[in-house]
Amino acid sequence: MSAAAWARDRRTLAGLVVAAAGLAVAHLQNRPLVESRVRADIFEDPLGHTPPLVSLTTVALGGFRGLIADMLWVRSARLQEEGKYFELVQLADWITKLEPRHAAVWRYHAWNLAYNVSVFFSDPADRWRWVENGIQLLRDEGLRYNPEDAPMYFELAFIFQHKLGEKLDEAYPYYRNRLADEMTRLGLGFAMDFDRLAGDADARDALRTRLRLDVGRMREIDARYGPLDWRTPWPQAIYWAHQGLPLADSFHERALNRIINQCLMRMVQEGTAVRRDDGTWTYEPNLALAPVLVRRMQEVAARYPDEMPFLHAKVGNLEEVIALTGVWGDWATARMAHDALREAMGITEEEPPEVFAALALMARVDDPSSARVVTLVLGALVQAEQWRARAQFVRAMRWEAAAQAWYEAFDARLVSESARRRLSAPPLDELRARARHHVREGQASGFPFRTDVDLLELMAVFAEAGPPPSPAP
Amino acid sequence: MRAVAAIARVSLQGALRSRLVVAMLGLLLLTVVVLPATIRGDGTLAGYTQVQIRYGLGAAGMILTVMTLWAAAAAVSLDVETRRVQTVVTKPVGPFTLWLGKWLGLCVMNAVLLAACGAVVFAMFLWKTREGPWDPDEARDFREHVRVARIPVSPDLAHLDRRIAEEEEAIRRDPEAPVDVRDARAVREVARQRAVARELFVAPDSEKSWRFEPPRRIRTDRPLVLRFRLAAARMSMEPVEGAFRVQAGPQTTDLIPVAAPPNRTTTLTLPPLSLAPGQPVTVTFVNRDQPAVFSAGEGLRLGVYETSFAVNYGRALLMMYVRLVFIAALGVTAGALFSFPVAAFVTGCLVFFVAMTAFVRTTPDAAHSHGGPPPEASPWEAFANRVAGAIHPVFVPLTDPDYLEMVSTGESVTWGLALRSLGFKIGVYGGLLALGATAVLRRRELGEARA
Repeated sequence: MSAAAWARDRRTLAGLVVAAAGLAVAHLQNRPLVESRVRADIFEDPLGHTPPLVSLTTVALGGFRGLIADMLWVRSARLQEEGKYFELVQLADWITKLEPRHAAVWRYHAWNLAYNVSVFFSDPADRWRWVENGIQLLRDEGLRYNPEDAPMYFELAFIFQHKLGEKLDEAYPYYRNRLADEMTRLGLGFAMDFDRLAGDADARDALRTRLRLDVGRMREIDARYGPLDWRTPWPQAIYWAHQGLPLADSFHERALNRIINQCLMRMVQEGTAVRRDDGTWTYEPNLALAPVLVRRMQEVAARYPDEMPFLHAKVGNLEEVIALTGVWGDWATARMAHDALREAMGITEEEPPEVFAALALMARVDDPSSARVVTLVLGALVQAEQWRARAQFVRAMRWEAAAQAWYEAFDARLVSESARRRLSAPPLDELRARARHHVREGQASGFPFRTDVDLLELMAVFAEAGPPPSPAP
Repeated sequence: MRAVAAIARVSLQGALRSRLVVAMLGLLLLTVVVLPATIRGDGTLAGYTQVQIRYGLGAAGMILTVMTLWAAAAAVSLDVETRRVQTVVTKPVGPFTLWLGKWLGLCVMNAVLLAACGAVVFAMFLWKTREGPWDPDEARDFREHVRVARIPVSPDLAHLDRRIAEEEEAIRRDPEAPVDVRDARAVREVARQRAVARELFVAPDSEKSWRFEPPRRIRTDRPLVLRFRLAAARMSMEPVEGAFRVQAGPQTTDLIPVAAPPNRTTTLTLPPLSLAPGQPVTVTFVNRDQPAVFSAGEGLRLGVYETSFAVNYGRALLMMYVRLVFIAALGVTAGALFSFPVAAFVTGCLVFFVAMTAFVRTTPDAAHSHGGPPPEASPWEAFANRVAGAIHPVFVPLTDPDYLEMVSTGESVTWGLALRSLGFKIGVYGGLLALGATAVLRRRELGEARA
């Protein structure tokens, strides 16, 4: 062998030795690395349960996918800053596909689309598209790759509860209308017959494909927290929050429970969807949920006995239930809530719930918030109808006048155009017609009517006695 | 000429023999076919178009750039390294012919591949944006405002310089000036921003006019459009109400009422006007609402129809092609100077520098624009800024506007723009690179035996 050839072979040999040594070191490092990934809960199984495209990107791009995701992320931030939103959904889609097991990435992008980007659009239809994109990103894809991520369930539930359920976004009526339309198309409604739904394969599949709702779980949720009106946003918030509960750490368990509580309260106030003649929807109280809320408050407070936020929520919600059920004449639930409240506050004296209901109502008519104004006014109008039906015309007129006064007091507070668009209650005549409907339709919302209690009279007595004392014990 | 053609053919064959180029070809095929299938857009036709064209062609362009860079750097350097070049230089073939042949081979490769990619992306675009599945109103808007090529004309702000000078004077006199008055550049920038803002501000119950000078050649059978964007201080669904009036010579339109959502670009098709060549157009905004300010930059533009979307798309492909053949020229020249890996690295770095100098130059300005005291630059940042500032003018002619965004938003990639790019990248810089490479190849000993 010539000297040159030997020198060449020696170099090759040396290279092979170095490569083999490198391989050995990598092999030794592999096991601790895998263990530390498992410990940190970032172990990935890119080929399991993922579509080919995601498997391809995660495996084929290897470490470079992080780099590409960063580049796309920078571009996404720049476009958003420049007000160019067309690409954001696409970029969010690609970024999340590049990091499918990084749950925070899904949560961030869904939030960004539903909250930060949507508000830049003035057309409610445009806004809804962005909110819907945010929901779909989490529900249809994020949870598919991260089915055990409780914060993701929280974010999804929160979008339903807050973005659609609260009245903070000017376009919320449009969101609710679209949701109610879609739910109606899918055959969902109030107090559903889940046996029939479970037997209808097409409806079941449509729910599964379009909204990722499982009929069995819906039945479970409805039995536990219902009867729910699935055309409203809150049942879906509860559905997703409930899915997250078994997976949650202590912090998220509380957060998810809080969402369920708040949804129940909101549904007591406006949890029934009613379609108007023009195809839009209006919302009325779902008082059938008031006893559920009372029991729920007791359960949750018992679960977190030393935590003041839950105790405060319990007291506040029970007071609200007493006032609202009182004005509608549902004295059985008012008594139940009053008993729970006395127990929570350690009050042993026997007190009539009617007195407390009158006091709670006085405090609330002074502050008829947008969430409760329909319940209060509609309740007063139902009272007027009930008294009128019993030929008690003076009482009926007093209730009618009270309804009008509460309605106008609330309306007078809506000074800006924006607040008026967002928070206005339905026209008073529409509420009058709904009250007549409630009374005429038998006991649909009516409860055994007590002629021995007139809350307005009690309120008048307290008003004469001076400023209303705080209803809270 | 036969020699050039023969070398070009060999250059093309050499490129296709490279494993990386073949791998990139596979990736290119995958990208062009698979990527559009992953595109979901934002649910609108306009959004889908932007994403499909930008990312479909953008990704293809990126892969072609890597391919070209690699093949070009290898074209001469590997021939020298393997001594294949001796079979050429021993014939009556000059260094320029060698360079030209190598470069033309790569030009042919890029032309074929880019044309194929462009055709696939365009065909997919036509298929996806066909009439059937979309809302008819949206499809009509798309046809009128996106699937066209319009030249945007900004208002004539010739008097702005005087206003800027006045603002500069005011800032210098202001004891509470928002910038360090000794920093002339910062003062000028703030003055410019203020002057532009004043120019684009319309008080409630008042009106303001702007003069536009459309291009001399204009299609009179297509209406003008007005694209405007009103800035608003708060996120609201409440539109800003007002009206536009357009005047061209003796013709004046009626007031055209608008209710424009804030912070969004609104496109308004103007009533037909018969414009004489070179006739200016005056647009007046009558504000009947809250204080309104048109966003700086793209806040108020007149759109003049120029040509069809397909022609515009073709010009965008031409711009992309010119960029690729410039990279080919750069790589072939680098290959004439250095060995293959060094040539590939140098070409890559230069391409990166061209892309990054504008970013490095504008970053300190962006930091300034957020207000507050100017950030203290580290010695390294100061050095990098100085270097970027010094070489920026050299690279400016090589930077292009975002032609993919332009074509996907219905903005014209004009022939002027395409020819300017062609002239600078191929005529000037390509010529200089060819001369440099020729000079080097003439002096370089290409026939030396390997050590």
